[in-house]
Amino acid sequence: MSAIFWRTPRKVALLRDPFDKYFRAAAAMTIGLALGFLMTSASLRAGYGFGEISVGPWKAWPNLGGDEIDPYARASVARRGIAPLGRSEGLVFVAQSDSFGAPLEGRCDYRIFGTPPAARFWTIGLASASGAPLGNAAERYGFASSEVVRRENGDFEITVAREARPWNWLSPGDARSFVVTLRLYDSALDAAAMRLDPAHFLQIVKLSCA
Amino acid sequence: MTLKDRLYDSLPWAAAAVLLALTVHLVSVLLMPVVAPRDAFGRLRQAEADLEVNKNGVLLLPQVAPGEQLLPFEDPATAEGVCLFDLSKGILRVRAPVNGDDFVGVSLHEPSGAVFHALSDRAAIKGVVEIVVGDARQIEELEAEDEEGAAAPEVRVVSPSTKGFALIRALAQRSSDADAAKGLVAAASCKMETE
Repeated sequence: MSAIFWRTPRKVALLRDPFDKYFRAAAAMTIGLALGFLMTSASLRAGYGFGEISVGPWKAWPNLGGDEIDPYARASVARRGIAPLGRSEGLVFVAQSDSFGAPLEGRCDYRIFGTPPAARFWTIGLASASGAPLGNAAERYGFASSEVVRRENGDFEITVAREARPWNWLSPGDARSFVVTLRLYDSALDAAAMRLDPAHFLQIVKLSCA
Repeated sequence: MTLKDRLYDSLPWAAAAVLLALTVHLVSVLLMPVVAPRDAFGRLRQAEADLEVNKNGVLLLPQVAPGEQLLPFEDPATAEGVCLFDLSKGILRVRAPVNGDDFVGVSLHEPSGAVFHALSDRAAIKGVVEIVVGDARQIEELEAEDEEGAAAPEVRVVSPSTKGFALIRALAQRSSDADAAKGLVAAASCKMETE
């Protein structure tokens, strides 16, 4: 009994000791490296650094188009290969979900309506999550403010559906998921006016799903 | 050795792992603009090899369409032209004519894609947006040449990097205006001027 008691820890100690520190150092290094790259990947995936504005489902990064761009935004821009609009040119909002927070799905129909913020021009379009236009039979990828069909009071609605719809219709084609982009050109929006009310912005409402 | 002892024993290693993770994270974020393989500049340089630069020195990008898109998240409603610059060969002068009705924007980008200056057609003087891009020394020299009191006829911008690109965008207000927008971009010019 006492022999076993005495021998076991010693045997373990003999086996472990010489390699223990190396083992731990290697583990710490591997975990550190993996964790570091994971953090980078996650932070770049999440968006474009700091200064995000979100209005309901819409997100924009006004710092992206100016000198005050932060290292995360810069890294994210380089990683994705985009060339953002300059702040004095305009501002881009992207919505990945509808106004109730559900992700946008290609099999569902949506209605986009409401008031876009003041801008000289705007365009509303569909794209894949990575920013590619979505192929569709109508070969239409978006509407500009000057071409969208409006009601008498100036309001408009855009229907997103795979199959043709009357009035303003955008199709996501065969895409399973998509994002909606709202590009404001020559927008009067500035940092002071960033407290935008989601109720007075564009709404994206799901109508039905196939 | 109890579990508690083991935990205490591992603490320094855990701290080392966390420190290393933070360092790796910060370094990789800061290095990303330099090492990103498919950044905007890389994509456009490849396009320059494949497509033709027009006589005005502008590389007209193909209309954004599915499978026909060089840079992600570009507006299919805009016509686009690009000028890659290398300031070691001289200063870059970009002239983009505007018509007062349609949106025209000129943005200047570092190789990573980050914008360092941008103007829309509202900044046009006599129907032209004109920008001169140089490094600090080149712009200083240009300013030294100016006559006293005379306002510079163009916007002068100091580039933070030797290489980079200018992106000219013109918005087609309707699908039928796409050719007019293309015409606006095609009429823009980029010149490398050597001192």
